[in-house]
Amino acid sequence: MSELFSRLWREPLLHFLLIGAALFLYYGVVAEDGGEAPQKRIIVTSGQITQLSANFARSRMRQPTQQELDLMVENHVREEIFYREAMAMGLDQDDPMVRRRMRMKLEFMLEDLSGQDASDEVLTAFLNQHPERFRDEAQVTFRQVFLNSELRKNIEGSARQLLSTLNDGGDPDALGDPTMASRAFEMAPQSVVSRDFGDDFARELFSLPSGGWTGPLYSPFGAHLVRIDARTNARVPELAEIRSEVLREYLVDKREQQKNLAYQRLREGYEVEIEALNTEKTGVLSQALGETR
Amino acid sequence: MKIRMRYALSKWCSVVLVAASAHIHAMDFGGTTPVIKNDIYPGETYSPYAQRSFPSRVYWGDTHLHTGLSLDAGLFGNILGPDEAYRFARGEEVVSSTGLPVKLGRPLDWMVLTDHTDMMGIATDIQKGTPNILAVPKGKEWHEGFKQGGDAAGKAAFDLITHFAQMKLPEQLLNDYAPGSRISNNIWERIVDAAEKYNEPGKFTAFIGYEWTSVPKGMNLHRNVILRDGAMRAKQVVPLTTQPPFGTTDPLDLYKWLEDYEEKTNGQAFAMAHNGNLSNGWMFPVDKTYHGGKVDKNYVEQRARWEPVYEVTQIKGDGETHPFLSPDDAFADYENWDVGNLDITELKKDEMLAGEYAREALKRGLMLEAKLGTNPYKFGLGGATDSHTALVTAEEENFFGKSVSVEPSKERVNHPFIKSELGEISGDMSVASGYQGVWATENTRQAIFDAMLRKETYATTGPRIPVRFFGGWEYSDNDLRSRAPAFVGYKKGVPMGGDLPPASDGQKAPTFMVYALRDPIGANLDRIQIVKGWLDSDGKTHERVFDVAVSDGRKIDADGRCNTPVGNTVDIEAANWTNTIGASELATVWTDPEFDPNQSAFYYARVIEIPTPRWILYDKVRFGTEIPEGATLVHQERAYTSPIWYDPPKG
Repeated sequence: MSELFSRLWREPLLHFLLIGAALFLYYGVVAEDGGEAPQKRIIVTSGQITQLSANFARSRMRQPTQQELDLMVENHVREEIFYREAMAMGLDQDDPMVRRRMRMKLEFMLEDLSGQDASDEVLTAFLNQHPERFRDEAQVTFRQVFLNSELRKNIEGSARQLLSTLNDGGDPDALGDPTMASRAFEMAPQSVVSRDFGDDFARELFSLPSGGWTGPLYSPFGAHLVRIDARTNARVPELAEIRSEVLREYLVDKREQQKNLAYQRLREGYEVEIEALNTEKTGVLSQALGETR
Repeated sequence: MKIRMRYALSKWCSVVLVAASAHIHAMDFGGTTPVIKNDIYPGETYSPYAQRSFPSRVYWGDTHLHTGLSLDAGLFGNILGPDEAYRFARGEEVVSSTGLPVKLGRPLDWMVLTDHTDMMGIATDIQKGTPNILAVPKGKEWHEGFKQGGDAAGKAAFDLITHFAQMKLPEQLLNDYAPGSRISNNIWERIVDAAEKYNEPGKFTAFIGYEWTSVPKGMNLHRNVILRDGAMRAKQVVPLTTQPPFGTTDPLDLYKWLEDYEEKTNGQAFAMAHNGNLSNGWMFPVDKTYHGGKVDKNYVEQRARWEPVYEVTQIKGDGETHPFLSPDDAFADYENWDVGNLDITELKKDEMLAGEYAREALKRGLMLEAKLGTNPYKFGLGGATDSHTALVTAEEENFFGKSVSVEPSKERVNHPFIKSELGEISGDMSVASGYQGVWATENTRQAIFDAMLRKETYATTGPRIPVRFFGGWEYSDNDLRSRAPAFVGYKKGVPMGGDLPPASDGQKAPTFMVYALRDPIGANLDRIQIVKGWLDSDGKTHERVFDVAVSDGRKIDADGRCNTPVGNTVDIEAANWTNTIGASELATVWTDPEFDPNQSAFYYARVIEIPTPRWILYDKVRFGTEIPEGATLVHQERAYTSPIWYDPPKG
């Protein structure tokens, strides 16, 4: 039984039926309502007052005083009256802010109707379809010795000399020029290296073999001799390791699809007529925009 | 009845949202109050790879961003929500509200989404099981369903929708829930859920937070609230709003909210104020508060406790200092907004400025501490965008503006930010700023939050400049040459945000080790400066800016000034510059030459880049925009570290 419900719950057709029913009812009511004077009776129930009070308590973490409660009730009445009068005057019509807000509300509904979970099979399939979105980056453990191009005239020569000293067992901590950049990195993904030394340096570093000093590699700061001590390759994790991440991505995609699908369905129910445009008058570009940069 | 049917439908809308809340959330991490230990950074370790016990990386983020969920952002046409905001901050490409594809040059490490929030409604009440819900059998049944989660929750949601759609909702509940903006009632839930979804410890930190938008009579007293905790705690509360009677504009009430939050949930939170420059003197009071209170013992203690960090730079102006306050500071005239209050219903007067800018506030803090025993303005510095586009852009060449109405377009520079009968803040004055660097031990809510509490954090106007700043009594030039200066930094003194330890015998003046690297993909550095503020024996405050490290072999004179400008390589026609001037690294150990051990003082570092194009120059080159006369085309971006304070020995 519960399975039936959950399956029903995931069924897009049901959502559209529900929305359709709601829209039908809405328009039915509105059409009847349109242009009439607002109802002149407002009942503030004890339940509503309790609710106002509870809302207050939740944001202020204390009960309201009688004075505060009276003010809330009066505000509530004031808002209700203005709301009804404004609706009766049709002030909601053609108001871009109201329209946008309504669109947002309906989009939220559609998003939330697309569910909160998915089966492992579905997620595994999604993971297999989009491995690039979940891949763990390759990582390297490496050390670097810095050569300051502002201090050394012949940086290539210095680098060669230093390289042989290092490969002969020279102490990397005692060699090279002072730098504020870190000298040792453990299991750093390419993105991290990129952030510290720039993209070119990172790309080159990750293409190097492990073991032994090599270089120089160049960064915005100068030249670097590097030694890779360990590395792991890029890999796509199993679903179990990253289920919540996959679910998140899956739902984001699905929501977008649902929203578009729903829009298409709704649009099919409309007869949309778009008049031809005099492009000469309105000045539409005759071809696609090029790069702005 | 007709009206009721409409209400029922709007309720139907809101109940659908319950489905979103039925999701089971990840557990909170930690949550007990951390003890910030002074011995958090014990010495060195032999292995260069061994886990450091001090923060070895700076994590970049933004504490202040609005999505379409914020009413004002929505009104400007923002149709992006938290999903897009987080995905963008994490480095993915999104399409902006105006249809432009946009991507950050580099991802951020963390973010606080700070939408303006409102109350909650029926959906959350059902989830929580409020008394009026539980009083109705159906309400109780649904509540139980949501509590169970999974299929039971799905079934409950389905049942709920059916009841709404068929107008069979129990009479009692129909009566209980007044019409109104049901969606806005669910905003807090959405915000919390989105943060949980995108928070990935070690990869990206999504903080739960909100903006408390206090702006009595147009005086900007805004604060962002940042929680250390996850959904479990966040959902026990509702953000404080500002419209009475639910809300309040008095910061003391916000402090109370924070205290209640911690007490109720055993969590942790703090508030971060911003845009004192639009408060017409009310952000940093010295005698009376805007709300009719006194700056007394209670006020200074509360403020010191709840406001450890101040947002010093953002789109609506840079708030470090102002030329009127710092006439001897050659770099003070930078992106200041000094026309009036937030809505320009009152123009600025010179005497208001002292209550608006961070440097002056740090000075006032020393004065108040002498008077009341606590320094209310002992804050660290952070930077943020306060962007209302859901896009955290602080890069000049990739600036998407304050709101959707000023996303890139040929004419955007001509849209005033605000215009009243009294004055105008023109469109070209928007600042493509800023970000916040945090020296934290790892990229998690807990580590970054704790680093902010100990003020090991700094602001930049956009570039990601790594800056270290340490204060102690025995740093020497050799320390800078050591294999890892940070080791020595932590070993011999305190990092930015700390208090100088007491001097031992023979130590005459404090030393400061400061170093900065240029942003690897940005501009070279012009200079590092140390800004000192102090309180003299007559109770008067003073400030002085020292150039301590400069590029290109320029000289610093006996007064601690380098009056030779670094030069300018900006090509106005191409919106370009070259790193042929300036330095890629600057570092020094500096000793205060005029130290008086009996005067309380603070020191912070300011790092200045070489001149680069402002965002409007990119508009000019890319769109052929006509730039309004007098608009600034070239500027020198910068970083501001949190201060290090010195307190004279008592007695």
